[in-house]
Amino acid sequence: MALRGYSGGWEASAVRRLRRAIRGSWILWLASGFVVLLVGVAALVPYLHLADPFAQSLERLAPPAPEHPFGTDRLGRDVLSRTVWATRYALAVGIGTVAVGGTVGTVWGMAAGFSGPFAQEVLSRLVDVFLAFPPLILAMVVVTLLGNGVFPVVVALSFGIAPRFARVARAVVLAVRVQSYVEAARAIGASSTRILLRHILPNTLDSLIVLGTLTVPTAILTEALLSFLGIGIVEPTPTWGNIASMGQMVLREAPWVVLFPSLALLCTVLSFNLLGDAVRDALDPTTSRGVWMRRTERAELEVEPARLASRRIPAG
Amino acid sequence: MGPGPLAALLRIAGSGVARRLLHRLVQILPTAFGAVVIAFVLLRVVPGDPAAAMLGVSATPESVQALRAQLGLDRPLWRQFLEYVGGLARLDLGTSLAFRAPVAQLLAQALGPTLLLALGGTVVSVLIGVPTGVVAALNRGKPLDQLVSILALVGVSLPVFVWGVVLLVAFTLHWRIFPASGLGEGVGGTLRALVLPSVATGMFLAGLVSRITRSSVLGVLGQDYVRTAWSKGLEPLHVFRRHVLRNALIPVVTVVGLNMGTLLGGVVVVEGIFARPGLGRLLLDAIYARDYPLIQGIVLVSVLLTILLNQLVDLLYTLLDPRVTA
Amino acid sequence: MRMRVLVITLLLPLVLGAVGFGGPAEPDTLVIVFPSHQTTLDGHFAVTTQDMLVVRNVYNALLKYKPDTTELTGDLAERWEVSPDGLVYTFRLRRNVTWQKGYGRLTAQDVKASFDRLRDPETRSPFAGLLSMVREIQVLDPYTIRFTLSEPYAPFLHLLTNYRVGPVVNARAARERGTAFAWDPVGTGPYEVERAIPRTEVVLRAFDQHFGGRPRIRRIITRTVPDLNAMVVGLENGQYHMLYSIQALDESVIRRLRERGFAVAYYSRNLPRVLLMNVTKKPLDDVRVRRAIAHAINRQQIIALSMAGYGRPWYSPVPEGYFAATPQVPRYEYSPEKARQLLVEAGYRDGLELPMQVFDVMKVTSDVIAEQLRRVGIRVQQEVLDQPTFIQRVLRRDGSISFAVHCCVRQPDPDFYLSDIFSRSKGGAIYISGLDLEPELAAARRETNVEKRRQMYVALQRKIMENVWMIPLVMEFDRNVHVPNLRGLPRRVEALWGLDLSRLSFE
Repeated sequence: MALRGYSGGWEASAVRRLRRAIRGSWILWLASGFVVLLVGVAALVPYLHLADPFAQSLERLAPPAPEHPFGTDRLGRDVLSRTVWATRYALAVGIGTVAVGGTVGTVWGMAAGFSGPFAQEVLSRLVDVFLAFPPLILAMVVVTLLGNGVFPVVVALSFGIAPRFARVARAVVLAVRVQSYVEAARAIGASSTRILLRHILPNTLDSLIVLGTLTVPTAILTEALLSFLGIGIVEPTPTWGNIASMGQMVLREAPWVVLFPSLALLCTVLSFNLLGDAVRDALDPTTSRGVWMRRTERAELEVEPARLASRRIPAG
Repeated sequence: MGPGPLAALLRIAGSGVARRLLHRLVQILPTAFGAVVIAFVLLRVVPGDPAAAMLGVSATPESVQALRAQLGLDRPLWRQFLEYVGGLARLDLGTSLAFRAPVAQLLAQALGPTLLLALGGTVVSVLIGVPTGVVAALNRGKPLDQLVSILALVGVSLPVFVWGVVLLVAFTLHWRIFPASGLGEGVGGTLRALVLPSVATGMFLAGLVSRITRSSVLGVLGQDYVRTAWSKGLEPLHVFRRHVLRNALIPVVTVVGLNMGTLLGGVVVVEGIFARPGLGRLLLDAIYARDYPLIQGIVLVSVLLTILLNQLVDLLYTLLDPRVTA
Repeated sequence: MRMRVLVITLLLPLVLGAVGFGGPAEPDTLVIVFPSHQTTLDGHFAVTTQDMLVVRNVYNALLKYKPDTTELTGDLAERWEVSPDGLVYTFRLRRNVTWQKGYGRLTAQDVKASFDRLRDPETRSPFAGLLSMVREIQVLDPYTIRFTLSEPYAPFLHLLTNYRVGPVVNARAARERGTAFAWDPVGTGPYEVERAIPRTEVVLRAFDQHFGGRPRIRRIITRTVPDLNAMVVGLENGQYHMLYSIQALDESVIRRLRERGFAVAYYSRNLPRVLLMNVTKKPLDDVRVRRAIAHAINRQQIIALSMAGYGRPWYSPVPEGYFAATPQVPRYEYSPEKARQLLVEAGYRDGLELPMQVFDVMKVTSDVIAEQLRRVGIRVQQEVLDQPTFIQRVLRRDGSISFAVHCCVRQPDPDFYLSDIFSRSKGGAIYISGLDLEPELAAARRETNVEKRRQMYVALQRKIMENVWMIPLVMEFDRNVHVPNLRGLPRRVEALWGLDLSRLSFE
């Protein structure tokens, strides 16, 4: 039960533990390899000499063949090229949502945990309202106001993600702020900002990293669902979600249109989820932080990443 | 669950839990009201006009104006709001703009199928998730653990609109076991029509249940009393059932309960694929029509249900786990 | 074991309490499905093609179109006369018309009451404005009714068909039932509403006192099935008999269903798809740019990619099948080279950016056109809008909708259609052009000489196409997939929304 404030080095040890975990498991090897591959593909896609992902032709729904290895979609476009290009948008949505939703949620939760009883009540209640609010409405509002692009979808998804980060951040803050070193810092007159930055933020990082890793696949999948409902990223921009949801209508006639983007989606989501679990095991926010917590807060930390991984938004 | 349900009930009544429950119920109201206010404001901010939605390409400026007047949308916003809130106070949710029927009636029609589906999905997720989670935990770190974990995740990792259709084609056309869509008639028909959507819904929750079960079982396995039981040489199956499973399922119950709340909000895609006119579809239709009173009604109901369920789950948690003080 | 008991105890009360609909159909029943839902069955408010499917069969109007044509004939009216000045229309009614649900015989007074209800500001029907030229409606005797107009209005008879203002509803029942009338309507048509569950299903039963005789199919269920796959599967396993007006069904799916023995009824609904644009705004104010766009359009590809092959290229402003429709207008054949050259002439050597507002149901067609334009150097930025937003913005007339694929069904007289597109005062949800051709349109509207009127529209169409004020794309066919033993669907044309269900039968 080491109680400590900020000390460098914990990241290093966590990375070491993570590396050890990955080395020990071929599945995690595969998962992290796949994530690296995705990033590489997303970066290099213009140099891969793929077919024009937008070019239409009358050869619609053609089965896989040498000139179209993944076949063509209903507008005669090359599915391979579209699937590969979609990697970029998948990562943009996943990482964008972590960045926007995660940041907003963390600030929200820390404010809730660190402020006085009244503000805490209001901010926490607001989390409840947002979590209970039908996510479809929020998504629709954002997309009708901002349009059907990557950014609006990121914002829409962030509405669902932020309260989750807020919950976790708040739980950690509540647990940490009664620790003796924080009390001590306060006693020697450290400012709130300093306490927040030096003592509380580092302690929340473990949980937030876990949550962040699990948010990426959730966001990508949710975009697919939004696409299916017509409020995701729209064609001609390719996303795995919109390729698959358009292909869904011809699933029996041209299964390849659904198959390849779905496989990409499957591998990506699996990889991120497995990695997320590994990160969690390596960091284990509920045990290794050495912070005493009330059971409800511990439950929050255990449950929230899992709930997130089950993609609660928007009502699959 | 120790002393049995009767004792548990007595405990509720005796220990002030009832008072706490009441207190919580009172707290729900401001949250729900807040949600309705947010919905009211958001909907008016969003572009799009209900009258234009209804008239479509046959709309003219005059016809839209006439329809807006008929729907009462031409009155000042504050009046509309006060009237809406006044209606709520009288338990009147208003009339749907797009369907020309009372919101309460539409909600009542949609709630049944959705509740059933939420329940069915939960049951399926438990049936898949708990056994896989236990198997994974008992084989921690072994290939079986990883295999099971991955299988449990597959349901989460594919869009439901894809394998929903796979289920549909396989079981309604290829094997003709279940009806393609609708709610079915009679008890048997309703149940039969419920199976495929429940599986579709349950499969993506199964991954969650499986993970929670796994980590929870692992947690319990590490506890002293379990170790003691093992070391005393008690029959393994007995130890597992008596000590491990019972305690490990407490967090599972929590998570399952919390997620049912989400399902109530509507499982839009599943409801669409299996043509179940539930809450999710209703919401989608209402949004597309900018049917303000209907959307507000759905927000109110789903927020209330979600919070209520969360509170119930919290309560259940305190009942199941005597160590917790809420 | 305990688990099973738990599950059953949990499920049972909910199951018992649940409402059930659906189930397998009886032999005399036709089950028609479509992805969207009805919004009302009140004839004076009905809008969508799904609404009209019921409205067409629950009500009658004074006039109707002869089956498979766009030619007017009597429905409730046996015959009619128009005064030479085009102001007075007198209708003689059938004597054997009975209201559904025990409302007695139909008389001229009932017909007048229906029109009065529609025009009553209290009713607030969105269509009341369509009858603004009617000065007076008189009942001359129990079976004669007369409309007097304030000015000649050549397309007047088309208004009296079973669409918008035309359906003759029982005004007394409407008054008695209040808002419930929307789902429990009373008309004189061949089918009456037995049961309606908003947004789920409407059950119609044959109305045997109908003046046209006993309808052959005894019960018709229209049901909403949002997912196309579920719809197709339901057809294949015998739950449904007909997929109604499914424009989103892919060609490959239709082909497979045909191979499996299902029939496809396709016919024109006089439904054009057109490119509309604001020709007063840059860069579309330049006729060379508009011509370039016209040359860049490949109609065959649009039909093949976005309409499952069910359509016909069309080049004239007035849709095929309408009065005064003519193919004799300037045409801009598909020629990307000419398009590029015209753009260069207009000063767009490096192409240009062009925002396009996409009406969500037109998304696929818009995608095809955007790609065709990209090939000639016009980079289209699509902004996808749902119906409530799109229509609201068109009606606001702030120019924020300036380039869009559009379509719409109107009665087959050019006045409704062209006025909507080109008249500043009469235009509605498709008025995007920014032009005002109202003087010419008004003159044609008032012209009582049929031949003269036709010439006026032909001249107007030439003028429109010389200036490329709009780009007609294709006439799209409606397609319905149904069980092979269903007979009586239109083969060529269906002039209004909905279908005449009394003509259907099982073989």
